Amino acid sequence: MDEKNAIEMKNPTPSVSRRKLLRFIMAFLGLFGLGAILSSIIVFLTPPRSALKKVGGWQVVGNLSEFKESSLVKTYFGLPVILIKNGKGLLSFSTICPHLGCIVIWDEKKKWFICPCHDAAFDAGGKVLKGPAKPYNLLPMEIKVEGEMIAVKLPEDKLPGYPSWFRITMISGV
Amino acid sequence: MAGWTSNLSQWVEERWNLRNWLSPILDTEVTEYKEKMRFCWGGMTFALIVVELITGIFLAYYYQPSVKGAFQSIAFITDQVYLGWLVRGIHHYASYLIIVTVVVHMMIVFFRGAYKPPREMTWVSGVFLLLLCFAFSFTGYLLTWDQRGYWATRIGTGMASELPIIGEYLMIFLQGGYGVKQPTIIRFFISHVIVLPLFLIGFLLAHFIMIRRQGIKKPF
Ligand code: HEM
Ligand code: FES
Repeated sequence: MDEKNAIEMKNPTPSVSRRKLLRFIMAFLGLFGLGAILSSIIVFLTPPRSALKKVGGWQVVGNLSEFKESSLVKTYFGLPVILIKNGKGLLSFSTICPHLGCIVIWDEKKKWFICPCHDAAFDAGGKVLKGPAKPYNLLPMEIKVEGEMIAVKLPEDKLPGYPSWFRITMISGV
Repeated sequence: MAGWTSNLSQWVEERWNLRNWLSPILDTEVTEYKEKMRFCWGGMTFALIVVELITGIFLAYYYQPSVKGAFQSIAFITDQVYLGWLVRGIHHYASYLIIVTVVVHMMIVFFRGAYKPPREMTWVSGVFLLLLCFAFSFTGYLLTWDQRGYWATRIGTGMASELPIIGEYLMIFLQGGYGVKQPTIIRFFISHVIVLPLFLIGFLLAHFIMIRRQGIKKPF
């Protein structure tokens, strides 16, 4: 009788199951370690909360004295909004084109907003007239006038009906 | 053949005995299909990748990954640096050519059925290489920080945001914040010049070792 069989007779339970268990434990530890490393990498690369400066809520964008004449348009660099004064009063829109996010400009001659990227156009009320931005209109912004100060309200929460990049871009301050 | 070349090779051989060590590579016959253009596209892609690595390293000597410096340093490379226009131009156009050669390579492999067992994993590593090429192009495109690069990136990260559940997180993760700004340039630059090249080298090695072991598939 060779050595191997002698050992097997002393240990009636096949040692294979123990080996299986050990292998299982090793595999589990291996996967766990791998998961720990991968998730740490993802956590490290996630921008921390303090780096996520958003511009949300009421923002002062102008002064009433700038809007004496009607049909005056002002854009605010740093904030993706435009103020426009026409017959109906003071209006504000987001200048982010709901197609792919370029900044629309006001065409004084044609009295419409035009997007330089793919030629979408919106009327003075923000309603889409042509181009690939259909069916989205420009996002109208709430306006508040306090004394001479004009403030608009940037969205802080989800904007139902608009794509999600739209809201993130709105609060990023272009 | 006497002369300094044979002296040199003898000198090398005496010291390191390379001939034996390298013989599996040096003495393997090139396959009989070598004359056929259709077997060249992978190699052409690799040659272009080497060109990209070399010109990319040169560009990195002058490039500045910042909102203030990026466009200006690219202009500096193009207009002031000796041969800068050439290095940048090669890096630029070779990156387009890579997409062409890699897609042709993939199509030829597909229509020859060369992806079938036992070569499945060569195909899989090839898919990763294709994705890496796209990632190189996407991250490299922003680096010039001109209108084209900026808006292409805005559109790209915007696409990512439309994924269900993780979309918004992914957009912020890619941009390093809410907008395409300074953190985005750093992210894209480091990915473009360090992280992606490391992955690229790894997948290239895997790709080539498998091809070496299995040989080129015989034509049908
Ligand atoms: C498969 C490999 C690569 C591809 C497809 C690729 C692609 C690109 C593209 C499309 C650009 C924009 C170029 C332009 O519009 O002028 C770019 C820029 C750049 N790349 Fe690469 N790249 C690759 C490898 C590398 C490597 C390995 C490095 C450095 C180690 C590098 C460093 C740079 C730098 C510094 C720029 C900015 C300069 C410029 O835009 O002219 N690239 N790359
Ligand atoms: S981004 Fe305005 S039309 Fe496409």
